[in-house]
Amino acid sequence: MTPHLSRRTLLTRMGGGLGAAALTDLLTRNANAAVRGFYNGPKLPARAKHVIMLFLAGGPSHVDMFDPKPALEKYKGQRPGSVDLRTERETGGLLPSPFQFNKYGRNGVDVSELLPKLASVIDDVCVIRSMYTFNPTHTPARSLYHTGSILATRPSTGAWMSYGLGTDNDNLPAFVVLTPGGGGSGGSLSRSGFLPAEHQGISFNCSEAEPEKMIPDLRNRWSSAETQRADLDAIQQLNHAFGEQFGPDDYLEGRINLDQAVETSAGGGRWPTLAE
Amino acid sequence: MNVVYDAAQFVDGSDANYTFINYKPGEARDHPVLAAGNVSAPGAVVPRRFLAVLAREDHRFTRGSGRLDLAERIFSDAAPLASRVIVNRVWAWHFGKPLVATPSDFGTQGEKPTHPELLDDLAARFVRNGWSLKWLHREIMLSEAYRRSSRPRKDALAADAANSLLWRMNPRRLDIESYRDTLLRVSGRLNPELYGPSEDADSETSVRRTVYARASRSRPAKLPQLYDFPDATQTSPGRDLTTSALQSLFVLNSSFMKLAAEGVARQPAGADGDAARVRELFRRILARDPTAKELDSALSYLARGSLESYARILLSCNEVIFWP
Repeated sequence: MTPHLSRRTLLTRMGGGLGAAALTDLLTRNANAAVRGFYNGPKLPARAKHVIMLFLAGGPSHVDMFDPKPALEKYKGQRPGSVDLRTERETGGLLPSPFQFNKYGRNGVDVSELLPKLASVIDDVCVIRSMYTFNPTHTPARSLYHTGSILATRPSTGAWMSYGLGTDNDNLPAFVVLTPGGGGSGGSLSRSGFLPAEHQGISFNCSEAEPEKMIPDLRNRWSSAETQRADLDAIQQLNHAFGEQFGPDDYLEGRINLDQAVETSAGGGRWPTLAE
Repeated sequence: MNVVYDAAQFVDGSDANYTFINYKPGEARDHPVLAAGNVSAPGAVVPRRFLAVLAREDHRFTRGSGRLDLAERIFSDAAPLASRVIVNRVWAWHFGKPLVATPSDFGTQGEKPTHPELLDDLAARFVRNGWSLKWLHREIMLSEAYRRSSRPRKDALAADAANSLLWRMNPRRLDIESYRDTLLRVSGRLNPELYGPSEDADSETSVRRTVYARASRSRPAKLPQLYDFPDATQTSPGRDLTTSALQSLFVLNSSFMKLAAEGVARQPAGADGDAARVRELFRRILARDPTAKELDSALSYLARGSLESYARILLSCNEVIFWP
């Protein structure tokens, strides 16, 4: 089941993105890599090398940072009919931000006094103030942010990045999600949804900075590197014999390749720490 | 004891600043529309009845909350949908791949069936056979398609690599329940006792069947998650299978696999000598004898390595988790 992908086809598919050349090489080298679905539409000028998304649940309100609401000052303390909802706990009237706003940069972006340093470089920042939610409950609202739907079935931002831009590694997850304490938004952050499974991200608990603590079973605590090498050879020998007897299969071959990749990276070398 | 009972939901208005929800058992009511979920401004009352889009006529629910009416309508008015939904799921459990790729969504946002006539025919005959699941299982499992080998064929692979025409059985792999149970069983560690509370499947002392693994919404067990156990905070129609580097790390490095290997190596062999021991390991783990070549390799491995290491090698093989 060799995927028939010419270099040209693949580069076209990838829109000439940065990872494209490297990915083509990886696919040529590893002909069994499952290439079921990548973006196949019009070319996009993909200049980004990395996409890092910080989702700061529980951070300060936008109303205190980038989004001044003069009307709040005007109607301070009032409870107009449209907001006089029965709430779970006792609530007061409308509350204006207690912080001072000024305009910064060439475009006069509003930034509050809480963020003087960010205000000094605001021309390099894109502030979007037009977003809204229609669901005030944490879990569905998070899902809405990460996937565009309150139903937790659709692909996450990372999965779309992987689908649209590709990736230049062949043995690591499409993208990683760092969740302090291992909790967070459940699967909404890493889900590939209806996109093929290779666009699935992996969650790591980043309360731990050491890779050994972050990634379970990263190291073999029982055998020396030489023994691990010999054991893996023995496993591969059995797997190859089984594969030959059964016939070509994506899963069998994927598992063989992953074992190999895991052994090479964990056995010999040193894993980078989160700080690096 | 009834674990489900009829009750009507009310908002207790006694505290202006706090919303208490009351459930009054034995009562039934028609709810008003709450625009934007605002319970302070109830709108028009909507009588409880079956979904208009599936109903053949306007069926008001009259008995209690309407649970019984609902169940009856699902098996009458909605029978064409309900029967296709369950047929699709049973098919997927047997073939590893559903006929409709979105088992919980047969609506406009779901996928179309790959074999619409097959789904219609099975669903119609399923209803004619009194909604008998036993009939459905038998019908599927006695089919020629189900009994085909999963062996790949070169010409067929070239024509239909995704096996959408069912020219072979789909090769499957063990789900985490079967896989973990297998590893516990072959190592002699499995506690097969039935019933009782769930337990933490990540704990080294947990040796009960994986069906007893606790599925906590706030603290999901890591091992089942690693093998595609779905997010317990949401409903899920099935598992999306992944093959990840973290699974390899589990197999090659985890203490669970180490304990399994120790367990297998401790099991008594039928006879003395390395050859007898190797044969015993193969039978126990792979349920077959080693080939002459495999026996040779194993013996030369044992000249330097331990029986336990060799057990770990066999436990790590594709043959253990692969289900042809």
